Amino acid sequence: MSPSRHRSVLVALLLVVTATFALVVASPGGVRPASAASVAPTASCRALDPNLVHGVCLKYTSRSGTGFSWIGTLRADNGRVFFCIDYLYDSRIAGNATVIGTHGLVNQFGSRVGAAEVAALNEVISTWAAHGSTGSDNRDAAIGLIIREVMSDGTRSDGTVVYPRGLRVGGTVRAPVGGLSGPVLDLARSMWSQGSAQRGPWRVSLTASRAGALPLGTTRTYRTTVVSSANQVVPGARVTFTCTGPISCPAPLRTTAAGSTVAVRPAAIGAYSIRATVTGPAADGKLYRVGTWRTHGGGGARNNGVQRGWIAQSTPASATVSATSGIVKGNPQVATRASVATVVPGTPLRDLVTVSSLPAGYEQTATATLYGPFDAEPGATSCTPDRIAGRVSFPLVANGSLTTPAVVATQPGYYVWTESLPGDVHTNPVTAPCGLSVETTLVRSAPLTATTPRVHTIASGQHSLVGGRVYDDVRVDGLPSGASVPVEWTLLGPIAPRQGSCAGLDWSHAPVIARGSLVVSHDGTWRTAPTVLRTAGCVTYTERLLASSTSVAVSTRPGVASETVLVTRPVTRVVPEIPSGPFSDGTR
Amino acid sequence: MIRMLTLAAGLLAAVVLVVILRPGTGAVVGPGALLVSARPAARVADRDQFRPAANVRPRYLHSNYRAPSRLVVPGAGGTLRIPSLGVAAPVDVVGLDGTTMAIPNNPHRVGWLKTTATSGDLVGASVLSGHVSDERDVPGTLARLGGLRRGAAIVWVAHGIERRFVVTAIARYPRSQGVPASVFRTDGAHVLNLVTCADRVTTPGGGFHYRSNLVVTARARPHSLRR
Repeated sequence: MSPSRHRSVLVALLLVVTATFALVVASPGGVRPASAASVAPTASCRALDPNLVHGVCLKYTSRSGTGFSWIGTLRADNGRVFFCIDYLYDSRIAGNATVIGTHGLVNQFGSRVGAAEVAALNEVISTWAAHGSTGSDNRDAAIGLIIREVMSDGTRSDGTVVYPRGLRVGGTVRAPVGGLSGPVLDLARSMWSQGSAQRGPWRVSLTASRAGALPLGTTRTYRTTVVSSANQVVPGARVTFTCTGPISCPAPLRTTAAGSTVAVRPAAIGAYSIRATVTGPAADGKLYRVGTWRTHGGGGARNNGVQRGWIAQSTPASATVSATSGIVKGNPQVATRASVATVVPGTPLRDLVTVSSLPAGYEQTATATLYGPFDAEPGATSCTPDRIAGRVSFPLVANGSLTTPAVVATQPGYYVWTESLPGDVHTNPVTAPCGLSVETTLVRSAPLTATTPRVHTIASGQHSLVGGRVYDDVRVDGLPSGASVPVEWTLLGPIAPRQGSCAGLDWSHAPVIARGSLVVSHDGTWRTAPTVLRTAGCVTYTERLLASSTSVAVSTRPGVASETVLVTRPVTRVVPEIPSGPFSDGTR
Repeated sequence: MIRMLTLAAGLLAAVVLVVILRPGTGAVVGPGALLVSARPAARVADRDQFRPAANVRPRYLHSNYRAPSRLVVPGAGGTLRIPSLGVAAPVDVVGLDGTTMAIPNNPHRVGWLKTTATSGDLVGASVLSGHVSDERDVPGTLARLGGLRRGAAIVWVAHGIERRFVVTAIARYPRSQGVPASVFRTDGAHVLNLVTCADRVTTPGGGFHYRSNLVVTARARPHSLRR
């Protein structure tokens, strides 16, 4: 191919590409594009209307000449801020305009704006411009741009499409003619996305964790969820509660994406109701409009119509939901376990009791009854009056765990505990069933090889400071091979020293500072959990090694010197000066 | 000359021995401090861990002390009553101002030093103090403390607990030497040491100051805790 022929081919190819591009950009019969819009000084728009508040002044060129378009807020004669919704209409609000709802909104051509779009628009304005302008040119412009595209009237009579039409919920806000630089477009898209998803009216739901009457001593939780008209969960919505009846009413909360829960606790027998209320954007906003406003039915926007203005305010709507239930007497739950499974005769037996769901204010004396001895493991009907081996009682005022007083089982055989909690005006009586295996203890004669372990204990120090920690080292010798024996420890005190000494004190009425237990499985030294000392005085440890099938119980006495600690406050380094007398040199 | 020096040294040694071996007289100022060092070393070692090791050089013998407000929590220590004197004063919680006990500036209030035993403690000494008078020498709440007698009652109510004490000793100590370390002991039965100033001295120019600390020691009555 010669160079001249080569050049001709290149020129022809260039012409084809150029023609194709021109057809694509300016296709015959399509909507006529205008030149790119640019952001003009606000003064350019203010020359046309002095009532601008915040927004952006756009300048564009159409076939019929240069145009300016304001997207943003304006101020009415009465001071209220609004957004124009009729493109090319006179932007002033007529003095005789009244406030109406946006229900059934149509654009200037008479085309109906969808209810969902109106609701989304109200969400955007209620959220961002609840009290007039957003205070930002870009945010007000973003809302103005959304309005233009929702109203779908941004086409001039010469066919120039200044603002794309047909923005629907979930759709994407597009740029005005020729594009738009800066953050306005991104802001508008974000606002519309949220408005579409969280448009009102909202619904609030309350779902109880359990149906039926609510027993005293328990709580009932409710899951509360707020959902938009788009069926989307709304996070961050403020839900308030009002209640009737003897319950603790939940405090207001902010919803989360996962939903939120609240709890009610009954205080007395009766009935209650709980009502949740949420306030969110309404389905409609508010407009300024004169009574003579009419659609014109044309294909393009017209100049000099009478403007309608969407008032920049929050237009809210509230939703409520209620739940009711009765409150009945409480049914305490009692979990019990015998202190030891197998012992030798003469061993004190105790029951470990854990009570829950006890109504507040309960103050009764509970009873633990030991039945036995039985030849075989007792069953549900074994607990008859003629088999009572002992009965102990203990005060019960709150939920928690406790150990009953002891009953000594002297005869070999099986023994079983039952617990009885009396009822009161708020509480049903409870009696634990007979024959539970965890409540059963086998007392069998000590084998000839039964041993008496030796226990030697020593506290972590004989002196400690307030705020310090103490613990006890328990040295166990003579434990049968394979034994696994619980050791219960108690820290008693503080009590006052006598003549400066903790020796020889009477510990029988000393308060308990802390208690705990550990299990020893072989000879050696075992350490108790540490306890922080809060008060000065004398404290002492006492330990009790429980009996097993191969060893007898062993206890240590409180007040043994190696087990006793004097707790004092830290001493000051020097004797402080006490300047409690005034001084005068006589000059005053 | 040598004989005279030997005689003088002998006299000095005799005086020291007399002073050291003098029978104890309880709360006595001056030589009483030496008696402590004459006690068996083992006992001193045991007691030392519960008493301050040394006295400080006083800073406010010839100037007024003003407690910074950050060291005084008004009213947090409850109230103190001395029925026989008709005294009832609010108790502020005070701290140490360096090596000085912060005293409430208002002479009608009493300060409890928070490093000492609380009203409910079973062990150690609680130290409370108040000004004997103000800068114009108008008497304060504790101005008549010197008139208290052994056996008198003192009642300290703090945090809803009423603690009763019985006065067992009243003593004066030169402020130039400070109070004995035992006033701040942290062991032994719980006592209350109520301190103010005494022994007013008037200067020729019309000035005045107090040269002694008056310490009233009261032992906590058994089972005196009342809520």
